[in-house]
Amino acid sequence: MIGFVREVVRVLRLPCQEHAALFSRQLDEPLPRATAAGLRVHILYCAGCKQFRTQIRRLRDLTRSLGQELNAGESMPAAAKQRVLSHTARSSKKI
Amino acid sequence: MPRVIHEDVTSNPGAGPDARESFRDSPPASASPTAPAERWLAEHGDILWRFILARTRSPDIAEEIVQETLLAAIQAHATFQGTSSERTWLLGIAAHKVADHFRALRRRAERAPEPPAADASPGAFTIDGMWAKPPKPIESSTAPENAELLAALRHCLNTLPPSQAEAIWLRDLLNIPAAEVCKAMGVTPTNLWSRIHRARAALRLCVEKSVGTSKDGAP
Repeated sequence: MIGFVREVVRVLRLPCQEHAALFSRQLDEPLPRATAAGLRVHILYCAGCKQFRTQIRRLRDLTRSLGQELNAGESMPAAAKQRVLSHTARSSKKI
Repeated sequence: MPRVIHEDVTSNPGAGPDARESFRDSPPASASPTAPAERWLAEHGDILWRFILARTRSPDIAEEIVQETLLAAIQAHATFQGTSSERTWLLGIAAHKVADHFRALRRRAERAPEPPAADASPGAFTIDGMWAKPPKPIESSTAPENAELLAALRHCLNTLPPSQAEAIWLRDLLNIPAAEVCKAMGVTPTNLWSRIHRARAALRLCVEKSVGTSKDGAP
């Protein structure tokens, strides 16, 4: 319990620049419970970090939706594939 | 929904465990060195093409980079561990090649080095690490505004330094698990998180600049 509180206090004392990095990391993986708790308390009074968290969540979702367009995009033209294969065959002989 | 791409990567029979298994088997000594390239192109050529085309916006350059990717893959074939999926491995190589392309362009055009990456969001924080310019709302749920945000995001993605762009494309756009991105890029998890955070912070500022200011009445 003391360890938990110590970590919460440590997180609360961090500058917002560090909070921002932690919020970004939290998008990708769960943070330790105490670290996450510290962040939750922090955004109760820090409008900047709260907004930052909202923004990067939104941006990550938008970025992923851009990525999904890749699945629906054009296929590589057959002629281009053929050219790539014949160039690859020629070049790989020199390797 | 965001899982679609990754699921596609793993559920595609050509990129799934079967492909990985066959990939680990050594090719017969008599096989042509370009034989795997033919299969890679058939199974992963389209995703490589779309990825590279989306980044370079030039079919000619995309074709060239697909070819460079295959050549590099043939050379690295023997050392591929099969710890990441074949598709991720190839996308990782392609991402390197795209980053090389942009570095070369930058050198030629500006003779300027990649911007220093120490500061994730220049000007956003004071010297004490507190918010100098607190983030403004850029939220938007209506379709036209969403389109505006996406357009801004597309533009901003192209302004990232190559090393950050590589990380954010593999992780956030292609939705490849972080552990696989680390292997494909040959970086440590800490290094990857740092690149991704810098990229997100830079994107946030760039998008905010492009569309966010109109929301709170600023000029």
